[in-house]
Amino acid sequence: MPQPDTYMELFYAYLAVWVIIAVFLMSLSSKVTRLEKRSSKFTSND
Amino acid sequence: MDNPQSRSTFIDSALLALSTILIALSLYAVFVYVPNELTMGAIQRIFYFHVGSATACYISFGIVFFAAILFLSSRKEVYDMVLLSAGEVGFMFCSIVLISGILWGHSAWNTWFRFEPRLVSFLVLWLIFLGFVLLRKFGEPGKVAAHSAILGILGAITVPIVVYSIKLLPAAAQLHPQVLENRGLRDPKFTQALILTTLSLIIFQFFLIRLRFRVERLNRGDH
Repeated sequence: MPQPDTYMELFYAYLAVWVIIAVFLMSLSSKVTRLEKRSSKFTSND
Repeated sequence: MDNPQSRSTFIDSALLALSTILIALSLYAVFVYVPNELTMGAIQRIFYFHVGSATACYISFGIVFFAAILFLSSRKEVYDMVLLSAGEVGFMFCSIVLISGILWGHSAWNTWFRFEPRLVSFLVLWLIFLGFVLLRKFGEPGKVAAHSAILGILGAITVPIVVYSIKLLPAAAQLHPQVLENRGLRDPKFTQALILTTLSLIIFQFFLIRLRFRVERLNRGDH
């Protein structure tokens, strides 16, 4: 079995860490923005 | 600052700023400050975010455990919101541990996965919280809170099994190292980088839980 490239594995591991964090954070931020916009619209209509 | 909403925004901003600074320092420590480990070489640098994420994930599941018990005993909606927020954030950190562990394992031991106590018990923990996330998404609206509280307790109980699973077999029979148990971090730089990374991820985890809680509160129309 060929030996894995250590530096590429290290790069992929950190890439995976940051992709997971970025996707989660972006999804939460966009939800907060959308929901706050919606709730301020309701408040101004009241 | 008397307004609870502006106080909450201030706490969120402070947690985000602090975790960003500490994560930047952690990355400097991991890639510049810490020397190469003698046996594994550069790949050992995954260790700091791997262990830090595992600690953050265990703390999240601890919060899930207490919030689930409080929800089941009082049926207050706020505990359900805490349970949901901590469960999802814990699952995210759990996924980071699993993926970084698989890549580290492939590089250090030349195998992606092996059926041994620590790896299997952690996979079971990940699957339980995958079930938790799917249940929250597709569960029956009236019952989902109680069902996910029970599943959350079951998942949180798995955490001590994961932690102590490493003692089930002798060290020579397992791939997963017993670094902390064997006081394997002899160079103080390793310990300093580990403490810094773990602290930064724990603070970041609290920021994420608060953010997820805010989403849920807005979603339920409770401001």
